[in-house]
Amino acid sequence: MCSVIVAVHIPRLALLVALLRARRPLDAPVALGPDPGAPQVVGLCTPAAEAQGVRPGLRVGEALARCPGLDLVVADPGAAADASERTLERLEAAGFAVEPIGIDAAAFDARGTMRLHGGLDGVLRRVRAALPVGAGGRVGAAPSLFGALQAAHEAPAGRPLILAPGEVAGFLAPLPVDRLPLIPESIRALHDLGLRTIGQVAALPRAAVLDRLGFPGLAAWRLACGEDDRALRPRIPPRPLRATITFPEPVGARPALDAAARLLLGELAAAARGRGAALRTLAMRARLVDGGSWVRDLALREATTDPERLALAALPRLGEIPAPVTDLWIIGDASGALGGHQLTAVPSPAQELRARAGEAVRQVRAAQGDEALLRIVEIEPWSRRPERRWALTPYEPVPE
Amino acid sequence: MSLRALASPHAVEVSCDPGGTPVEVALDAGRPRRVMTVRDDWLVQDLWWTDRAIDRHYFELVLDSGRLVVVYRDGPGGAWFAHR
Repeated sequence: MCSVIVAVHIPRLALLVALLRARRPLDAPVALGPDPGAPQVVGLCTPAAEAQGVRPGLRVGEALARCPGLDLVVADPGAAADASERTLERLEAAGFAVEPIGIDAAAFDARGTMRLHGGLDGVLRRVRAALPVGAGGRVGAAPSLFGALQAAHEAPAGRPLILAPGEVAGFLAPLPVDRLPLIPESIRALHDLGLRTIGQVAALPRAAVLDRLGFPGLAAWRLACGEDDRALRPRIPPRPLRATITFPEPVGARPALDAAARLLLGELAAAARGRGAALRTLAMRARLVDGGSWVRDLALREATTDPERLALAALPRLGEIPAPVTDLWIIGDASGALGGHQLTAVPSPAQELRARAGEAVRQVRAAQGDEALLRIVEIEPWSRRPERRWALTPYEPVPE
Repeated sequence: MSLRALASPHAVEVSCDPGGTPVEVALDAGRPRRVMTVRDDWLVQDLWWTDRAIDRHYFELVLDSGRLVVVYRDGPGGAWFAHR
């Protein structure tokens, strides 16, 4: 039995989330504004804005000239990533082994779940039920990943588009060449050669494609011909842990952010150890004072619960935050194995003392609550306003 | 997890000389204490571009009890606050 790849695509997910947060209607001419410090170009835009000539990547001035009523909203990548993650979780809860593809798409091989859901129709029904309501999610199915993704892009809202094994090349033929997974220079080269559709690329001789575009071009040519043997790489469902800090006032100073992040990493590391697992990835998110958000994901070289090693990987990223922060949170994926390191046979007296103190702290907090033991952390010790110099935070025991 | 500001300001009674410098401070509704020394004073004007503008004149004082306190006047002729 050949593969049955099912792909889902939620068009303009980042824009939908930003509109929801800004309480703006989808039928108004709205576009995502530029990120702080980024080039002054607009991002995704609503159909009403597109109808007036606004396109993603257009300079803000030109977009406003084309559409004087254009409203710009601040992108919220953190909320968009959350929305995407919730969709993936719902698909995984239905038994599908999902490979995320960007923030707005995902795919899985449906073969193993057909019997469970009563055939492909049952699978597709389940998939549509997992998509967020009102987001206009599209569903496509094909024997190959590329075909399924393009089917999901082209599917009408509310009706899955299913391609049979012999239909893929014919379906792909009229689609624009921009859909091929090639670098922009190669796409430009295809345009310069007068090639506009995937079908025109598929009609080229194999040797000519290899000669002009190299191996990436050959891979794209094979996709254009409907030959896609790339196996799906489903993710291991993460076991997320989350730690959050809300600042009394917006904080922009790097040492203050570093101190807050160290606290969060210590909390995450302790929680992961409590699960008997280690952290494999970290997602750092900050809500900015102007209403936007900042997101950075990082994968650790090896799973760990050592707060110092976590800090070494995470803290340099905080320098990229473009504006003062009101909330900072770090999400860790605790699906790594704990252990693999040489342990000491006899603990030192200092380790013994730390272990006892840590246990005492845990018992007091269990009996009296998190607020029973607090410690002072420096926020901005140089500040001329005394209330900004230090803060109290729940005391975390020193890791053993 | 949330951070709680440690030295959040609270209202105090302060008597000043004609130049606006504190001469007596009544902390926690107690009896007024005489100011022995003004160790430092500084102005903080911040966030003036927002609707939460800050305009404070700080004084670091030594009281006759030996206690060191930091008080500020919130705007010219405004209320007095001390940091815990």
